[in-house]
Amino acid sequence: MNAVEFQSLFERVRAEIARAIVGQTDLVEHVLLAAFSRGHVLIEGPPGLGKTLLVRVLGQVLGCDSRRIQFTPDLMPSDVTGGNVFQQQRGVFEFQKGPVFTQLLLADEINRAPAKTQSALLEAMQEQSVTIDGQTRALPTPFLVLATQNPIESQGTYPLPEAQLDRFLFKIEVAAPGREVERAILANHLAGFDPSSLDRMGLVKVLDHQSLHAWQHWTRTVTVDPSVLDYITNIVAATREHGSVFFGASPRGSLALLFTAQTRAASQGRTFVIPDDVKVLAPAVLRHRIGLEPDAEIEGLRPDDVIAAILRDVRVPATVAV
Amino acid sequence: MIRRCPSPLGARQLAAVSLRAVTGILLLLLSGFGPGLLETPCLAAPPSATARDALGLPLALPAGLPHGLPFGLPIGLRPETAASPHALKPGNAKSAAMKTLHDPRVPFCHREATVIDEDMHAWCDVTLERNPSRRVSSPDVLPCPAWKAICARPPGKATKLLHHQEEQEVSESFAFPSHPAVAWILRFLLVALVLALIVVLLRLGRVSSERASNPDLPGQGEPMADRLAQERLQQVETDVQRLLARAAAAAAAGHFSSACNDAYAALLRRLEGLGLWQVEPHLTNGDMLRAVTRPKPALEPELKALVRDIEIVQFSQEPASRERFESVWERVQHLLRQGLVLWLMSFPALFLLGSCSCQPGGDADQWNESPSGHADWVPFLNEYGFDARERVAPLHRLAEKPDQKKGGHTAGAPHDGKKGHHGTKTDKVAAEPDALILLPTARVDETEWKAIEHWLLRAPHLLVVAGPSRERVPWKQLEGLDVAQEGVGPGDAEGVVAGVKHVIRLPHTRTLQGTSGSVALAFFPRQGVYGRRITLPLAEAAEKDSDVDVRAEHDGTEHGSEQAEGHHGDEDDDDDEPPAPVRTSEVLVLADDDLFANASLMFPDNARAATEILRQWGPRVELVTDVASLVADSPAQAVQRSGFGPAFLQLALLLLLAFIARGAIFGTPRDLPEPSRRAFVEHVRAIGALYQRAGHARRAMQVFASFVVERLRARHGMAGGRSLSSLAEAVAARTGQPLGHVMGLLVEARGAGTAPAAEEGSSSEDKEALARLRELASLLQEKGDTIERR
Repeated sequence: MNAVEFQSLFERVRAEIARAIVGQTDLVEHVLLAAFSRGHVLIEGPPGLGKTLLVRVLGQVLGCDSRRIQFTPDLMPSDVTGGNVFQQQRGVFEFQKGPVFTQLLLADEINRAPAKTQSALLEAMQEQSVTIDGQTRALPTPFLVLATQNPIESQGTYPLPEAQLDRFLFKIEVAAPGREVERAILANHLAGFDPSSLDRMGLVKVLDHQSLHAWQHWTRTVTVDPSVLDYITNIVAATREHGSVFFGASPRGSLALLFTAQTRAASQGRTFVIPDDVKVLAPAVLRHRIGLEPDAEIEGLRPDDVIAAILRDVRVPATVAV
Repeated sequence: MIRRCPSPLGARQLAAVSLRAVTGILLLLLSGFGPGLLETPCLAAPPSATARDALGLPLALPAGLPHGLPFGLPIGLRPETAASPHALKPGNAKSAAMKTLHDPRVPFCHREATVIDEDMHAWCDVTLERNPSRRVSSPDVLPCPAWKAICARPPGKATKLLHHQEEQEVSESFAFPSHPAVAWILRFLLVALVLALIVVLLRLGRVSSERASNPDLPGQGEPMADRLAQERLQQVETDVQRLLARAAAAAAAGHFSSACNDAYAALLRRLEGLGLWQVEPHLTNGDMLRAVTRPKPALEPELKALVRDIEIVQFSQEPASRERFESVWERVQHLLRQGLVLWLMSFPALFLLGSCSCQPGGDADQWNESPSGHADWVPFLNEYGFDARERVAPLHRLAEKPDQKKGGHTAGAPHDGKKGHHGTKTDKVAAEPDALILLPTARVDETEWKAIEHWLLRAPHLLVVAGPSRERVPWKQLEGLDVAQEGVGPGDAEGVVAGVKHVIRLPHTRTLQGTSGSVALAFFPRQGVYGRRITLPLAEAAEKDSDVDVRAEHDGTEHGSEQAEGHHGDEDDDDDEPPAPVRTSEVLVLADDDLFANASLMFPDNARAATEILRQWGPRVELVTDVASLVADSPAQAVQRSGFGPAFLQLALLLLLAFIARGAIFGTPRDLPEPSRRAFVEHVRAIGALYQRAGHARRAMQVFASFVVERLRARHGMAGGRSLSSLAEAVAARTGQPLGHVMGLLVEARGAGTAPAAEEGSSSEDKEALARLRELASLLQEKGDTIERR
């Protein structure tokens, strides 16, 4: 295992996904980075952008099982994690695994479920296991959750609490595709693309889940110079000190930035992290981990604006500027 | 040397000329120049129109010339006894010329790589074998080691300053219409334009200030400054070289990591200097790559590879190796040398070079040291024994009498014989020169000509050396000095014969003009030389006349003023007093500058001719070049002379307009305005508007009503209570409002707060709710508690 091999693998996975998913290159790249960084992704965007399709395609290409949960207000925790069901014939309680027992899980519209149900999933995300009736059951590895939120509706929703959002590695804001991309999507469908039958597309399984697991461990070996570590900590510390921020990112944010930067460096064939890796990933890593002051929000300030300002203020390591 | 062919002379003039001729001959014989002079065609019978000289060159006679009558004294005939009492003792011109040319700093004598243009090549013909028929006998030519090699090379690009200046003057001259009506109309238009500009600027300023105060209007972006100043470019280049040197030094010491960083920093500095990149602490290598390769995609492969190398050095934690440094170094050098980068640099570099070449003195210095220049004449004259220098004081100072200054000396004053008199500390009040040589590069305006005229009245001498073309002769100004043209003037072809190139041919019947270039005084003094002289006596002299007689003698005696015409007259002559001794000035005009060209010093006879001219006038000689026109006495004069007057005026006008447009704050240092934030009340208003838009005005009413009641309770110490009557009494007592009114408001407020979820109401209900809100707010305000906290 080396960086060049990983870069090649990464490119092949990306190319394979691009056969089914037109456009959305940033989303695909972040999802892949999260997959290899052992992290979960929160996707915020309007419906109809192919998020479900992405998970399915990803599952095929990475050789992982994938499932989808549609979160609704009446969804119960056991609908997510599963539970013990009494088998009348045998007279025993049998554990029925919930959809969370998969490798790739699409949690669609997670903010529509009540907090209790959200907590069940979030616990699974954090612990990589579920505890039901006192018995802890490990989830499969790798375990990646892609949760989605619809930013349009605010009525009847249960926004994820900020403390829970911290569990997501990335929060990716997806916009509607441009005209060229949309046209290409239409052309794809005209050419016979059927999202419901991906098998007919002949998507290549680039790697299996064991390899994925191995690569996940390997990416943690990418070299990080102390100056880059300082850069990461300075950025995250600045999120706590910014005047418009009510609460900043936690050390979990620093770790997220570190791991994803390592994966990105490896995806570009490098065995070391550079400041560009950190700078490029910082918005996706930090935007859901900071909360703004009310007056800043009223003024229209967004977390991305704060992060951009912080990146402008924090000194890049090894710069020639004095 | 040039002589001006006289027009048909009157009887008096003829007599005077004849007298001078005879005297001149006698003096020449006495001075020992006889043999040479006898050979001079001046004294020979005038050749016929088709005659040719010894070299087979045609001679053409000017029309109307008196034949056989030289009108001027050959310089060489000027006897010692007739010389001015302040004349310099004769020296050895040949020796002085040899010493001057021996100086290795004379480029055309010692630097074989010197390139001369076609015009200067004419001197080669006189000295070398190129044209044997014109060759001067070698003993008469002083040795110049590099001259032969220089002449062997083909002529280079023309660098003659005078030609360039003439072309510029012709192309750039603009004659302002002199008609008063034209000037008046133009002035009116200019004023109207200025007023219109003021109005427009004020209007624009008002519009921009309105935009700034209205946040809904789109703001105007600040243009990016992308002009590179010359100084910044020079600084950039200095930094680049310094960083490269530091990199090399670090690599030599084995610190390859630092060396790589320094080399990379040099490239970044260069890119910054080109405006492609701005080094900022928060920008990464990737940012730089994107910023630079976006406009210059050709640089991407090389730059990308370099950045990769640098990042390995900076972040991989691997020790930098020599190979890595060499790779970085090579890429940096390649990028620096790359044609694209150089092309990018060429514009500011060309601007630099162009500005350098435009600086006054650059081309002029080179030309002044060329064979056709004049730079070597000052050291030559000093070597001879003169006190010569290039004049650096403004010419208009000549009008000031030196006795007005402390310790000033007038022209003709006894000279202490020490060299360098002009260079002493008393230079500011130093002696005025005995003679001025106006070289062709001198730019003399009308005021300065007037000053020269006044100065000449104090009896110094003026040698006007015109340029290669006749138009350079300042005929108009010389008219003011009473120089008689006598049929020879600008555009006057009569009496003017095209000069034979490279040969001095100065028979008395010929006038040379330098239209096509150089005239080498190679044959002086065998053919003799003379020039046109005039005499300007002092104030006692007769009235001014356009026809100026020529002085016959140099003995300092009174000029035959009653005989001569053309003397300056003084109407205030006092006939009762005996006339003071007349001291005379002389103005000599040379039609071209070849006598005073540097190459002319190669011929000892030329040197003798010039020294003989000047020696009689006195030891203090100043050569006037363009330098004198650059000097100014005051900043205002400097602006005037530099020609920047209109530019400064425009700048002042622009500042004035800016001041008018921006007001008194223009130019006043100010702190940056604090970033404005919306007041909280504006947010409240916005929320209220949202409520109204959503049809939930009553909900707002409910919320506010609850707030008011609670606030009133708190203020009156009834927090937690539920009774409204006691609260109403307290509020009524404090505000003075009727108890019933206050009670009604509080009841409505509490009722609104406890009502079920508000439904969408009509606009009239909203108005009622708003009215109630205002009344409740008034209860709070009258309590002294303001709702809007500022």
